[in-house]
Amino acid sequence: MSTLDVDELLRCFQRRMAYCAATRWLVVLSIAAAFAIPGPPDGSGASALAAIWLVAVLLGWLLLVIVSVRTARTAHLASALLSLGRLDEAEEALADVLRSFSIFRSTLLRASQQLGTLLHARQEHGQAVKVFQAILRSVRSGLHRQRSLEAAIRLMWADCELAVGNLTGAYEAFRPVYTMRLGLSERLLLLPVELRYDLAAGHARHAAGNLAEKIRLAELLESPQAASVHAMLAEACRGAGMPVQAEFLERRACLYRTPESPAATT
Amino acid sequence: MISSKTAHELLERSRHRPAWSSPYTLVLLLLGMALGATLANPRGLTDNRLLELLLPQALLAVIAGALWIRVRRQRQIAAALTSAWEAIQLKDWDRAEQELVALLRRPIRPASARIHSLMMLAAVADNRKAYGVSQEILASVLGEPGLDPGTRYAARIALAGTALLSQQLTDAVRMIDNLGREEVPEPIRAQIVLLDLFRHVVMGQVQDAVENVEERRALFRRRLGTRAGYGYALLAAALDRAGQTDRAAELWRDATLLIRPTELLDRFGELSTVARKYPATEWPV
Repeated sequence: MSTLDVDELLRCFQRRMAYCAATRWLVVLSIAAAFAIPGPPDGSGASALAAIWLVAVLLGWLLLVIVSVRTARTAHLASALLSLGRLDEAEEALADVLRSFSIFRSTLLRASQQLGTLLHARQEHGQAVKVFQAILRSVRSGLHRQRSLEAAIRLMWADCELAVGNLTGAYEAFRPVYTMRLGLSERLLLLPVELRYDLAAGHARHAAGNLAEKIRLAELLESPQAASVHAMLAEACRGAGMPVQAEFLERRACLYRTPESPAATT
Repeated sequence: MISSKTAHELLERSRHRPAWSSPYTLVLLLLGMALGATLANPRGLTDNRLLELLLPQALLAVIAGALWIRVRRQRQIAAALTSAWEAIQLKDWDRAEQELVALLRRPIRPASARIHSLMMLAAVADNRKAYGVSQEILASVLGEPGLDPGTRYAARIALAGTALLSQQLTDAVRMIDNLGREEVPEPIRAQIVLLDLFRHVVMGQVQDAVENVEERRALFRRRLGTRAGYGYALLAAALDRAGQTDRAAELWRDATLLIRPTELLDRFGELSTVARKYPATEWPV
């Protein structure tokens, strides 16, 4: 995917998010206006107009929901293609979603998050960072900040920065995550990113801290990720002067290791 | 501890009525009709000018309130599901049971969320060794219409596992054989192979259990993550019975490197012989 394509898709995403917000406000204001119309002294004319107006707004809303459900289905398909590793097809489906209308913010946000994941999987880290930053801007401009989504986006952004060796950028990306209340799935995302950062920055002692809890979390990961995290923990223990733990963790890493296991450090 | 009576009660209470016959839908429908009537003919319900102006707004506020309550309930369900899932992952069985029992006391919508909760409740019952209760829940899940294939396989595998653990061998063998004949993705295949291995160990079919050891070991490593430890331990038990003690010792070391021996023995009592015979890996953390 060229820079131009990504930029064009991001512009589409921002436009669609703006349309989505504008449409919602328009519908709310239309309904409010329908009910706020005071009736004339005889009472009948304005009320009938309000009723027609209300029905028209509701029908319009229904039509938009139908269109949006079709977009959501394409987004679901893109997600399935991405998880199967069929990146080219997933890219086409995601481009379709981002160029289509949706009344659901979540569909657009998920599609753009998947676009970032796709670029990350293709090692196009610079492009992926652009996508993640665009999503964060949209999330923060919403009425309710979506903490879980923001944490996931920040961690993927940090991972991209670490992949290109930009430690400052990575820290900047994931630092706000520490102020959030994280669920287990976010903690599982944070663990490898935090370990990679600590090892790259030479903070082995910090990486080896709270070891039992980190092992407990690493055990919940799938084999390739578990192998990578155990290998990083082993490296951290070696750096922190804990050779017995390092050897134990290295042996465990070998048991998890598969051909798909990512490299332990960059 | 979840009793059979509690499980039955939760199965019934969590079931939601079809949308068209639920009290919530009927109330919304009536409110909608009343709103339509007040808009179409404001004088039909009252002659009071103030009431005539306020009634549609009041009805709209009640409808909005009803929708807000529904959205809040859905958020509560989503949060409780996440919390129960986290508790199960972290093996905090008491918290998981507490969350799930509270959640399933009221109707749960959508159906997929109810099925997910019931699958977790079955896992809790299984961990408490209440195999009968777990079977009852899983059988009920399998009877639900529109179950997705992944959940159907998970329920069938879990049901066959509880049948084995509760010594209902004829049923277990039939279920495992049926599962083994189907073409399934590799992550599901790994779970079926693990179950099949456990069946052979339980039934003392040593030759079948030690067939393709390396192939099974590689499959467990690829697809089961930490739970591969259970597979290695069962392979160790099978190899020990087949007299291949060196390989058995090696696999027991691997198994106990991933999962502590107490946890392995708690899950599979059949491992007590290998646990006594071979040294386990020491955990320095």
